[in-house]
Amino acid sequence: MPTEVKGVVEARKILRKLAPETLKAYNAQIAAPLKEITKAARSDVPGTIDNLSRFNYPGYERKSRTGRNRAFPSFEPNVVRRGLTYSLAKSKSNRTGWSSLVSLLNKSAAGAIIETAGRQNRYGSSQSKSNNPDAGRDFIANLNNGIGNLEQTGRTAKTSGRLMGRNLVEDQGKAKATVLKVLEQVAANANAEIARL
Amino acid sequence: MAIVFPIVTSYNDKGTKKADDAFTKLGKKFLAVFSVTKVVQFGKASVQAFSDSTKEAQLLATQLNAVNLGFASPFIDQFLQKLELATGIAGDKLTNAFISLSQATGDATTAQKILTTAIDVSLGTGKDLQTVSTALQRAYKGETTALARLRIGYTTAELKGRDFEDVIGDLQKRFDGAAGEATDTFAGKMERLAAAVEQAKEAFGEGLVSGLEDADTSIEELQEGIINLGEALGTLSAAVIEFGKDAEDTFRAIQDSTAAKAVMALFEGLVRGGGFIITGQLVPTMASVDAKRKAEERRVQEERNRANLRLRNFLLKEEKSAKTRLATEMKVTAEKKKQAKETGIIEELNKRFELDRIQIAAALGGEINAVERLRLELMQAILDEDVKRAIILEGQLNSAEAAAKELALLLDSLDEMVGDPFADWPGTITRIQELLKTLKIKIPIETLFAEKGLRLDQEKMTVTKLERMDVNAKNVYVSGLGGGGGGGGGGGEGGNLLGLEDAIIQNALAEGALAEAELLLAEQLLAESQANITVIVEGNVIATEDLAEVITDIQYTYQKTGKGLLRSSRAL
Repeated sequence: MPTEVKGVVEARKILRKLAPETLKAYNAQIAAPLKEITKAARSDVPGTIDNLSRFNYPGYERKSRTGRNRAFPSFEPNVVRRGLTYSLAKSKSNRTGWSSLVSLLNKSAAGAIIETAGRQNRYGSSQSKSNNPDAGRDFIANLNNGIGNLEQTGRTAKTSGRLMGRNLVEDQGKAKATVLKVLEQVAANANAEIARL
Repeated sequence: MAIVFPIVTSYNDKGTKKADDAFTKLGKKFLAVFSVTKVVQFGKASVQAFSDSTKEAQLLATQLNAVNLGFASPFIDQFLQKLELATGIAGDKLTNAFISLSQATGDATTAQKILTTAIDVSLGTGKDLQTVSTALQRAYKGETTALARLRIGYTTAELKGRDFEDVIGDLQKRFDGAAGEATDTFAGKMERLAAAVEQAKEAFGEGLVSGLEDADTSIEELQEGIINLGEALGTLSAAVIEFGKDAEDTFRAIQDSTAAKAVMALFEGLVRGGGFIITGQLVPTMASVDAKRKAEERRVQEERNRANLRLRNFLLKEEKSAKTRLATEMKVTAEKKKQAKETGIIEELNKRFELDRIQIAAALGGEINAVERLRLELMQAILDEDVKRAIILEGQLNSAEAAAKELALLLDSLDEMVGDPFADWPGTITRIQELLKTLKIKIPIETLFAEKGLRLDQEKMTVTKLERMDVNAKNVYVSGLGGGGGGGGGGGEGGNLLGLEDAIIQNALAEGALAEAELLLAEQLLAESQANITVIVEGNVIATEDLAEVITDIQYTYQKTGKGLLRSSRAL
């Protein structure tokens, strides 16, 4: 579960203006544990996923059955690995007003599918357009076998994942603790900079 | 779309401004807080109150109108809302109880008092409020059976012998503490907040009281803030869930909502008494807020000081710049003045070096007659652009020219006058002398007459014609016989003159031989050695002609003295 921290954006702004080098150092400290998780997640991406030959076939041309512009993506390990990254930038606020200040990302389309498949329906969606009624269940099962099961990072199932999610769980909060500790230092430094004015 | 696993998040109050406004106002006033659980309970009560408020208010108004207490409906509604928030009892139950009591008593104040007691009894005994209030309502009317059936320590016989006011007072004494314990939740604290600061101090501890004192906040303001917060929470919950859902789901949603989290976070932080930090959260304390405010004030003051300093520096710089400009202008003016003066001097000097001026000046320095002098001076005046002087000189020149013309006419007429026995020689001679004097002509009058072949005798004022004329460099003298006009006596001197002539010729020949010998000697000397001639010139020599002219003038001057010159150096 993410932790809310107030004043980070302001503190970062202050440091960016008054002590950019300090902020840079802090960013490096925050990034260090995130890099470890990212690295671990990338190592979890296999070269190929068993029993998912079509998904493994990058050259296979598909057509969206749901009318979307993009068809179902193919699994390309390099693309998926490249998509596993982190961000220290403040994201756009969601409709309830929350935004992430430090986050782990799974950017690629195939990576997102691997990360989240089975979150909503463990055995595949009932609204699947596939001719094979068991396609969803088989797909999820093969992902579970090939990559790993979903691990829940927060209180709800929506917070679970296979790559970033699982590695975040395995980190056991160490990264978060480090990040929060550094952010406290950021805030303290920002206050000190203001007091120095 | 990327899958995001947020590690640290931030909350933006844009979307839920109303809720957060209430939260902010409340947060500023509190330093001590309720626990998260109690806030949730508070949230339950407030949401229930909000959801039923319209219906209850309507029902209350109708029932109060029936007993002629409609005018008190808004106040009673507020009282019930407050009571509802304080006790956590649902608004509809409170309303129903109050309606039944008001119907029995016909007096809103009495009904409120009995209802408060009923709540105390209900909370103290665990009996349903409606049951207790009905029993009290009947007891008010004299039917004490229902009150006895509550089994709260009274028998029917006891109650029949007692006054209702006495029974109510007894109940209040007995159940006051029990009700306090039962409401020793956030609602109880709310009640105490509404009652007095001292009670709040006991309930929430030193942190809350100091906070209240620091914040200079009254209990009424806190109460109002909490009610507003409840309203805001209700509004927020209405946006995300339906009111029809059961209470548990509703409050879970509220608990999950942004505003509730923020409230809980604040409350939890305040309960901890330290002031602010929730685990991993950087909510500032009052001390830090104060420090921040002071820092901001200090920053503003410093900024103002810097602005003043900048302004002062700017003014000083401008002043300095203006002074520099003024000094520069003065310097330039002085320089220009100096240059103008120097230019005038240079121009004046240049005038002296102009060729025309030099020639004129040189000519004026020589032996010249009056007419020539006037002409030269007039030219000089024209070059100097001296109009006044030029006009004067022109007049003088005209006069001089007239005199010169007259002199020329007189001299021309001399030949004719020689043969004229009636010629007025004395008058003519006198006039010529006057004219010579006027024109400043230094040539002797005898010379002028001699040039005409005449010999003038000024003593006798007679003129005779010359047969021969000899002229030396020193003077003009005449030898020979007179031509008749002058009278007799001229024939006897002829032989002397001839003898003298021979002597002169002999002398001249001797001088010529001597001169040739000197010339030969000089040429020989010149051939043997390089002669250096030093010429001292008074004035300026610009061209070769100037030097030659000066040397020529010197030779002429020398010749006029009658001294001999070498042939080679003689000016011709």
